[in-house]
Amino acid sequence: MCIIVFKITGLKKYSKKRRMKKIIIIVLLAIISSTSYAGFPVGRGKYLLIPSYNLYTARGFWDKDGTYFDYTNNGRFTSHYFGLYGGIGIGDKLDLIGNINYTMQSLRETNRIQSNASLGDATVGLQYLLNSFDYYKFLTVTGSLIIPLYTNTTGKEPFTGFQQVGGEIKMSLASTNRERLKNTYYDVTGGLRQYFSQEGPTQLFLDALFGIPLNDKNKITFSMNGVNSSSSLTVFNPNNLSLNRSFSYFRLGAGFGTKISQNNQIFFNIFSDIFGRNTGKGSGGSIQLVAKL
Amino acid sequence: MSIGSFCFAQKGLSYDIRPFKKDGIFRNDDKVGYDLRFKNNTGEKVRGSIKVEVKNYKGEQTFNQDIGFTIDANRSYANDLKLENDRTVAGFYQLRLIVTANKYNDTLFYSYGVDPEKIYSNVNRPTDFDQFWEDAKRDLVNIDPKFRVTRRGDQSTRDVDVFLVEFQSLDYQTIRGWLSVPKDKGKYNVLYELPGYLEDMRPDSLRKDMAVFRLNVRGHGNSKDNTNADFNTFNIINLNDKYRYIYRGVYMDALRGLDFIYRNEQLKLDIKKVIVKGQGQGAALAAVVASMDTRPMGCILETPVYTDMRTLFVLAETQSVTPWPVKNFQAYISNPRNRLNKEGLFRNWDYFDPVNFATNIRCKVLFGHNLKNTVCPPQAAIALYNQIRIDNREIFMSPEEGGMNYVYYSFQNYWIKKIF
Repeated sequence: MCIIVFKITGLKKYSKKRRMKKIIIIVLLAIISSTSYAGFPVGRGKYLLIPSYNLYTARGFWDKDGTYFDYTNNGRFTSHYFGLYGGIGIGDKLDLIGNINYTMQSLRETNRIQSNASLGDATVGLQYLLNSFDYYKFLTVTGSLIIPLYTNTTGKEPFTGFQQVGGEIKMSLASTNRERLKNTYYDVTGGLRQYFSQEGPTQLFLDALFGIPLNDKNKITFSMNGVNSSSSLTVFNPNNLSLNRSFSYFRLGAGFGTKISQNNQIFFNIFSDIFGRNTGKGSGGSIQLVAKL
Repeated sequence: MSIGSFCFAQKGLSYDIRPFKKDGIFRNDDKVGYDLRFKNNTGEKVRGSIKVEVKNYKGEQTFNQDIGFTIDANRSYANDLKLENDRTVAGFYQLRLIVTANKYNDTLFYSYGVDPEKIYSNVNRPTDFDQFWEDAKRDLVNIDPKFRVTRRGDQSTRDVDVFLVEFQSLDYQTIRGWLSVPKDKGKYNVLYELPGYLEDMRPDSLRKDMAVFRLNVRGHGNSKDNTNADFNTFNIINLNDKYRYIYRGVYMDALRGLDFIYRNEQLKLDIKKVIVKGQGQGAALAAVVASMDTRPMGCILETPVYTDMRTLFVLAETQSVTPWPVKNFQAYISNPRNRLNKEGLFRNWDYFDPVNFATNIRCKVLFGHNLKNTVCPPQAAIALYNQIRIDNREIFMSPEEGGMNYVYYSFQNYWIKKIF
């Protein structure tokens, strides 16, 4: 299982002379909660519910060349993300999945606070088990529709997202290792996300998670997430406080999970951005409850 | 013999023979046959032939073909062996390949099934079948179970509490079993496991994600106070009298064991989530229990025995290995003192044949069997599966000879999680 992917991109406006004051606009991109429960089918007539909370802070950003800068005026971006992911098994191999979230984000600088809170991008889709490879590897394909549940309004920044309908398709492979590294498990998800507008963006993403059970109840996990978002809109337009659509980042995370009852687990994760381009550099933590009903 | 990889045989010839369908089960419009691959690992050209023979469960030859081949040094030979003809009907078949080449001679055996769900089984359910078992259940109800649960510290572990369970069953016999419950707080799904033939069920102290109740029915393990028979005599005790036959009591023991679970929720048992499970005789008992009590949510029948006795007797005459327990029963009816002939045996057995219980099963069923099973060949075992309501059942056929393969057990775990 992997941490909820939740990304902030730092958009910047700065002159070619770096010593000059820069105008930094931070935009939150609440990327679809690509929890990798995708790997395992929910099961006919079963329900999966994953409420989560995610805290992210960034004190700087990478520019288009990947050079790091601190925000000016002691700037700090903070985001609180409350998500609810759900899955319903409508067949042995087919699940209906969905995600909604509420985000509160703020950019604090000396003598200046900008904040915004709203529902984020909701997703609804279908997940199909393509192959179970002798029932220890599970390959699934998921197709989702991304629906923005907010309106970006001038004066209420940072914006919540692209405010754009989109679609996503991804493949997930989840498995338990049987020989080498016995009983450890992994979950790899790769996919494509397309927002339906001229500027896109088109995003390629890859999430990987490696889990090591410590005993019957507890496990530790290590994860990595990468996103490459490309768009014809490569520069920030100061007249339109929109979103940065052309960026990339790579993030590492570690977590601890424990079973609190037969069907419920709780996960604690920390993560940090390692490198990126046109995006904020931050770190954070998340807590999520996985309940199978 | 292995499935799915090159196997080295004598004199440098190796082979890889796989059915067109991975599990060896062909349905509807599937092409029936095998991929043949032979590799010549020697430095010289090999000429040879493959004699192909297919027999049905009655021992009748339904297909034969001779294939010649030539393989250059260190090269391979591949061929699609199509086995379907107008004599291919729903059923299970045995494929024999006799491979002859220079300095090489080998005989390879495989089994496959065609449309197993369409196999016709001659079901003989007595008209008073339900009444017979209602009477047995009434007899059971009239005996106070006197459930007794004793925690056994010597069997418990750091993570699991083990309890010795005792109760009274039909004929006032004391039946015992082992209940293992994880020590952590919470309610646990229950796996109710029934014994194979004369198997001594021991506590499951390893499973920490669910409670496991393993029952020793009369004559098994620690339930031998009044019944203690050996391998050849247990299942013929009073075979000539259906009211006194040993399995009337055995079936009731298994049924009361299930009732124990439902009456002891306070032992951290989640009584809404119970799966009955058994292998061999245990599978037959699981089918009977799931048929008589509709409360379990699932039932796992792994390589069941005792199914479709008439077909088992037919198979005894056509197969090289006599299915079990035909020899025991033949010995019994051949003894004039038992005053039971074959027809009488079948008439009595019809009350105990798991096939006749299957129509009453209402829970989800996982049925696992292996194609090369000689104890209860699939042609007989499938009768049980085919009597279960279609929307409740799932089948897994394993190609191996010695029992179910690891893929089945992976699937079984997946199935249990799916059900729970």
